[in-house]
Amino acid sequence: MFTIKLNSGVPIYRQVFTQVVRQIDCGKLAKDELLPSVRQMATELGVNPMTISKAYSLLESEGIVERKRGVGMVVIKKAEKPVDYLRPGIESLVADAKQLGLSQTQLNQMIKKLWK
Amino acid sequence: MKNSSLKAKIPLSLVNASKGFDGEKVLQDVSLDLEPGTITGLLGRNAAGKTTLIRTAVGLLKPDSGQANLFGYSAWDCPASIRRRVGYVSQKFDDMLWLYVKDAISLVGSFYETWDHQLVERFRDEWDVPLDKKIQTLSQGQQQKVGILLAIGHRPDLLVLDEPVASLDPVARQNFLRTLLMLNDEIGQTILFSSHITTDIERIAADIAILHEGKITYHGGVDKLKESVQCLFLRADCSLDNIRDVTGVISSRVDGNRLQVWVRDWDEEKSAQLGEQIFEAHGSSTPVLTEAVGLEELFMGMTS
Repeated sequence: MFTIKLNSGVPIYRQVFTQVVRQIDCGKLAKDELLPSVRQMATELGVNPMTISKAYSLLESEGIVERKRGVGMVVIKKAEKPVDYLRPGIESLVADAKQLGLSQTQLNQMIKKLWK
Repeated sequence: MKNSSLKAKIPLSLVNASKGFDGEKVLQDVSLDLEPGTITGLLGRNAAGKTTLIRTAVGLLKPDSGQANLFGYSAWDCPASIRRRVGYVSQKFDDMLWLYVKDAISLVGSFYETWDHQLVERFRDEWDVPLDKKIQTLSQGQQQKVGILLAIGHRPDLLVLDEPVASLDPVARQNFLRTLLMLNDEIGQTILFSSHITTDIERIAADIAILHEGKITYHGGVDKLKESVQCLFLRADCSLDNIRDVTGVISSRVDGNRLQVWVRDWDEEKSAQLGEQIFEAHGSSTPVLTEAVGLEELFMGMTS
C-alpha cells in the first residue's frame, strides 16, 4: 500500500506523510479507519520505526489522524472533494487573468478551447 | 558523580580522538557521542578513516591523543564487564577459519552467560548458514554472516559493524538490515555501522555521521540534514567570490554552464543576500534556483 523512494530529496517521513494524505484523498483510506501500527509499517517498508513515528506525529499535528489509546492511529480527516483540490489553482488563475486585464468571457473561451 | 553516571549511559564516545600510522594522521580530533538506542550510519568514502574510527572506538586501537570511551570507560583498557556489552563485526571475518560453524558458535557462546541460542539459531537458519562446514570453506558473504552471528549472540547493548553488508548479496543485505532494525527494536540496542551505500543508511539509520579526510563533518539526524541542505544552481560565470560571504557553504563545483553550490541552513534571507551580490558583480540579476537533494548527492557534495 505504501512505497518509499530512497535517495530522493524528500525525507522518508515526509514521503509517508504525503502518501497517507493521498490514500485518504483517493478513498483508499476512509475516515475512522486505522493506520498500520508504527512497527507494522516500519517492517513492511524496512525502515527505522522512528521514521514512521515521525510521520505519524506530523499527521497527528496536522489534524489528519488521531492517536487513540490502545487502538492506534485513526483517520479523522475526510477525503477532499475534487473541487477543493482544484480551488487553489483556479483562484490563482482567476487572479492572474484579472491582473492581465482579461475579461471573464475571454477566460471562459480559453478554457473552452483547451477542454477539447 | 552525576556527571559520571551520565557518561556511563553513553555507549560510545570519542572525544577529540586522533590516530595516525607512520606519521600520517588518519583520524583528526574526532568527537562523536552515540545516544543510547539509536542506529547511526557512519558514512565516508574509501580511505576516509572509517575503519580506524571504528577500531579506535571499540578499543582495538589506542588513540594517539584524545579519548575513546565505552559506557564511560576507556575503550583501550576497559573491564571485561564493559567489553561484554559490546559486539563488533570487522570488515572481513578471518577468525577461527579452521573451525566448523557449529563449533565456533558453541565456543564463542561458552564465553557468555547471556548467550541467546534461539536468536543465533533463528538468523543462522534464515541466512542459510550451514552448521557442518568449516568456516574457511564458506564464501566471503557466508563468512561475514558467521561473524555477525558471533557478534550478536550475547545480545550486546552496543553493536559496532564495519561495512557489514559489503560482501552480502542484495537479498542477504536487505535481510540483514531488517535484522539490525529488529535488534534495535527488540533489545533497544545502540548500533553504529559504517557503509558507503547511502540508501542503506537512509533506510535504517535515524542518525548519520559523515567522516571526511579523518574529520567528522556532520553528525545528526538524516532527515535534518536532508531538510537543511539545498543545492543552488547559478550561472557558471558567477565566481566563487560571490558565495564566499554566504554562510553555510559546504562545497561547490562547476557543472557544464552552471555552478552548483551546496549550502547548509538555506533560507530566504541568504537567497536575497546572494541575489544582491550577484547583481553587484554582474550587473544582471539571475534567479537563484534551489533544489532539495538526495542523500547520495549530498554526500558527494560534502566530501568532494
